[in-house]
Amino acid sequence: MEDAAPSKEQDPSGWRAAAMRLAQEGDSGAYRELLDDSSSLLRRYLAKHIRGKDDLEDVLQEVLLSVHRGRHSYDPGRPFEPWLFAIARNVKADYLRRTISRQTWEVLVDEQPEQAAQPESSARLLSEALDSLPESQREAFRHLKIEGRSVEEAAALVGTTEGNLRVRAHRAYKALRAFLAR
Amino acid sequence: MRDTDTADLVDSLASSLTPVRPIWAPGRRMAFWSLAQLVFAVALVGGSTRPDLAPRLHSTAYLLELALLACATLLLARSALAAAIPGAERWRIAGLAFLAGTTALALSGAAGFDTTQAIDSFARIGVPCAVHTILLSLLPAAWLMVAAYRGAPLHPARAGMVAGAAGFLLGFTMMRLMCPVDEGLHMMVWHALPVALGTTVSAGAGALALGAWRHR
Repeated sequence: MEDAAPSKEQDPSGWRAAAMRLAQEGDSGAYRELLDDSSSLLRRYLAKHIRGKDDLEDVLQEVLLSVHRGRHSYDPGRPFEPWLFAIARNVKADYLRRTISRQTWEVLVDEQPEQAAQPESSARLLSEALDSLPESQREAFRHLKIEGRSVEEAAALVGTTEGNLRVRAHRAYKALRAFLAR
Repeated sequence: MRDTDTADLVDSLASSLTPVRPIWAPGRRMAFWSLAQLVFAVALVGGSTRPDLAPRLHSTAYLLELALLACATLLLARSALAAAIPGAERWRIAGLAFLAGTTALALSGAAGFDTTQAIDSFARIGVPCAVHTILLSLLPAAWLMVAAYRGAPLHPARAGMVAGAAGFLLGFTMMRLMCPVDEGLHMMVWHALPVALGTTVSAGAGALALGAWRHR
C-alpha cells in the first residue's frame, strides 16, 4: 500500500476505499488484505442471519466471489462499506430464499429416496453433476480431484495460471455441491 | 477465525486479480446520456414537430404533462444508472418517477375518447405512431441497458424495467411533440401501450441479461 494511504487502524473506512482503488488497478497485495479484512466484517454480519458454520462460510465465499466479479462497479469516489454490504445483503437474501424453498420442499417430500443410497445411482448422479459444469470447471475438477494432479501441473496442462485454475475448481465445487443438494 | 476454504478462495482471487477500469459515476454517465439524448431529440423532432405546437404550448395541461414526462424520464434514467452500482440504488425515487410517468400518460388521454371513429382509420393513423414511439425509444433504452450491463446490478429485472421505462417515456415525450392527434383512445393504444409493453419487455431482458456479471 502507498505511504499516503489512510491507516487501517485510524481510518478503516478510508483504508478500505484506498485498498479497493488499488485493487482495481491490479494490486493483489492490497486486494488480499482487503478481502481478509472484509471477510471478518462479513462473518460478523452474516452470523446474525445464518446459523450453521458451513452455510455461513458458503454465503461468505459467495459474497467474496460477487465482490471479485463486480469489482469494476465500485465507484472510487464513494465509501467502500455500503457497496460491500449491498452485495452481502443481496447474496444473503438469495441464500435465505433458497433455504426457505428447500425447507418447504423437504416438508412436502417427506419420503427418503431409497435409490439415492445405491452406489450406481450415486455414480450416475455425480456424472450428471459433472456434465452440468462448464468445460473449464469440469476440466479443473477432473485434473485436481479425479486425477489427483498438483495445481501447478494442472495449470500447465490447461494452459492457465494457478490462481485461475483454483478459482475454476472452487466454482466447480460450489456448483457440484448445489447440484447434489437439489 | 480464518476458515481454510475461505482463505484459499481469498488467495485464489488475489492471485488471479487483473486490473479493471471502474465504471463512471452515475452523475457523469447521466450527464453524458442526457446530452446525447438531447442532441438525438433535437435532430429527430426538430424538423417534424406537430403543426399546432405553438398554441399547444399555451395549454397548462399540455405543459404540465410535458414537465411530468421530462421529470419522470430523467429520474428513471438516473435510477437505471444508479442501479448498476451496488449500494447506490434509488428505488424510492424510481417509484416516484413511475408515478409521475403514469400520471403524465393518463393526462395525455384526458382529451376524451372518440368512440365513433372507424377501426380502419383508427389503425391507419395509429400504427405509424406506435412504430415511431418504439423506434424513438430504442436508442435511449438500449443505452441505459448497456450502461446497467456494464455495472453490477443486484436486481437485474428491476434495473431493466427502470431503464426501459426511461427510454420509452423519452420516446413517448418526443412523439408528444410530433403527433398532432390528442384523442384519448389514440394516445392510450398507440402511444402509451408501447411504453407499457416496452417497459415489460425491458424488465424481462434485464432479468435475462443484467445478472450476467455474476458469472463472468
